[in-house]
Amino acid sequence: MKAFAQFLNLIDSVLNRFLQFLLVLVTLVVSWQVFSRYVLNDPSSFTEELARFLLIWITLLGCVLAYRHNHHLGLDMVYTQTKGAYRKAMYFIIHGAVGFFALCVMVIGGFLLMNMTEKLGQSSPVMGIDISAVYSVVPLSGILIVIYSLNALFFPDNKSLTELAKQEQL
Amino acid sequence: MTVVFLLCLFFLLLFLNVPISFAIGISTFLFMVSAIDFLPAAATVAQRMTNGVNSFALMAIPFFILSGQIMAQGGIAKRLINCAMALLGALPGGLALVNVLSCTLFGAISGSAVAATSAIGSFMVPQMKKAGYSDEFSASVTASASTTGLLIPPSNILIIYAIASGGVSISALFLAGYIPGLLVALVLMVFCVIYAKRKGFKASERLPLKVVLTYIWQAIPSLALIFIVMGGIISGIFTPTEAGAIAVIYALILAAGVYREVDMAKFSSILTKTVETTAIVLFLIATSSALSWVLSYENIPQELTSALLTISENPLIILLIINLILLVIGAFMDMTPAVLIFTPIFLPIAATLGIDPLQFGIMMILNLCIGLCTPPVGAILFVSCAVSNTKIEKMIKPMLPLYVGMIFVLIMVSTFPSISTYLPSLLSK
Repeated sequence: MKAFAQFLNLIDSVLNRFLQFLLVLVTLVVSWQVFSRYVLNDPSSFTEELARFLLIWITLLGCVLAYRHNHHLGLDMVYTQTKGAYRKAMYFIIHGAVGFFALCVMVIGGFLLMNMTEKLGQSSPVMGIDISAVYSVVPLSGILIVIYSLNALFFPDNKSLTELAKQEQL
Repeated sequence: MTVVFLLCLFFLLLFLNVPISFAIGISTFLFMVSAIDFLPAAATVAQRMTNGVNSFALMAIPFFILSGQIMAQGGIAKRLINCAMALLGALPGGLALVNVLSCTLFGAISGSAVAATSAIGSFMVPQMKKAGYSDEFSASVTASASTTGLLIPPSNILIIYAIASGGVSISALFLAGYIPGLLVALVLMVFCVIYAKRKGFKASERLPLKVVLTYIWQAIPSLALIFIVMGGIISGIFTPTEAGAIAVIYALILAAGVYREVDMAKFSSILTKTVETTAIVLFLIATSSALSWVLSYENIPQELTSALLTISENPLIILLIINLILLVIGAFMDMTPAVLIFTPIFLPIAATLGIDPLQFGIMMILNLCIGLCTPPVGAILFVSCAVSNTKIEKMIKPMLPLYVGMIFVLIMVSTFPSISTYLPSLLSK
């Protein structure tokens, strides 16, 4: 179980670094779009497409991180008022529901989506990237969310390093 | 019948504290499963979700979050407060006015009300306390003034409305927000002057002219961002998304290069925070776009429109009803999900009655701004409470007149379309 916790912390930090990289990259890509249009007088055509794809990746992978850190917006009026068994039940429903959605829609639905686009042989109009490669982030982030939700369900004390740091501060 | 199931499931999940984006996703998905089969439903929802965020316009959101974060941590708030002090400090109720103006300026350039509340509030509330203002009053002024930044461009929530409305121009909407946003700030300032006169607060000492000019001079690089971003968008030099990227680079040069208040460690934590905030907002957009697709597939907006129109065909009465519903929703729900869920439902009604989508958007966002400052769910209220070390219960009383002020502007915006549409109409000429 300790190895599992360490494994999750490793995913956390890899994911974090990768997302930071994507955000910096997308800022540079869009700035390049302005630069190439006004300074080079040769508007680049690939930047808009690349930026859109990067945004899909940032959204879905970032969603994993936000779930891991419990930062998604929720209505916690009732939750904060409950105690004991009720609270425990709600806790399991929350993480069960998130895991259920990630498994059905993001993993299964995502793989189906990749399959369909691959069969149709769709590629992006400007850069010629396989659309199924762009969509691969859907099942990927789905799998990560399922892993984190299983962790939350079976090892409720197994928290992320960020959360532990926050608890120590309090 | 099945739509009732979708709604019940959604509210059940919501009250169980399932993240709103997932609650939307799950109820949409199960609704689809009941209509078509399991596998096609899963693939369709996954596809609608990815399509929902496959948009260049949405790219502006992470950029404005990032530039706002850099500005909040990069010493820009301090300079704006000094500038506001130089301009308004010597008036009656000076510090309260400085607070309103700083929140408005910071909210306007950062586009985030929460960032404005924490950046300005944590500095201004202790100052106001020294001058004898109560913590509750200072916290209330900070909270309500911070919402103006959501109306004054650049503003992420306006971009989200433009996307949810399916075709409103972001540039036009940005222009539409100026007058209503400034109107709220003005009303709050008038209230602060009245309050200060009644309670007998003295104006701060007039600063020497040289100091005044220095403070204004030092704020110019920060304020210049507004002119670069908005000037570029209005004149058509760049799109809002490109303006966002430029804002990031400008803010970074200012905060890291010139003011030297952001180093690599700070920048790294800013990036992480931006990624998470972006993902939370955009994942909401992703699942909401699946939901609104299902709703329109089921003709819900049309049916609701005809149902509401049987009550009255007077636009003002319909707007009044919509406003009342939104005030209740705003008290319980955060702004982004509320805009994403209710724009596709209410906007067709407004459109049928000939209400300008720009006016409707500004009205809706101003309305939900009030919700951000009301319990039980009010992000800004909580943040301003936290930075002022006060309790929510204590804030209700000083908030009441501020609510009245904001509702007054809301009524004006709902009644007179030109408050919102005048500036955009100049652009289109």
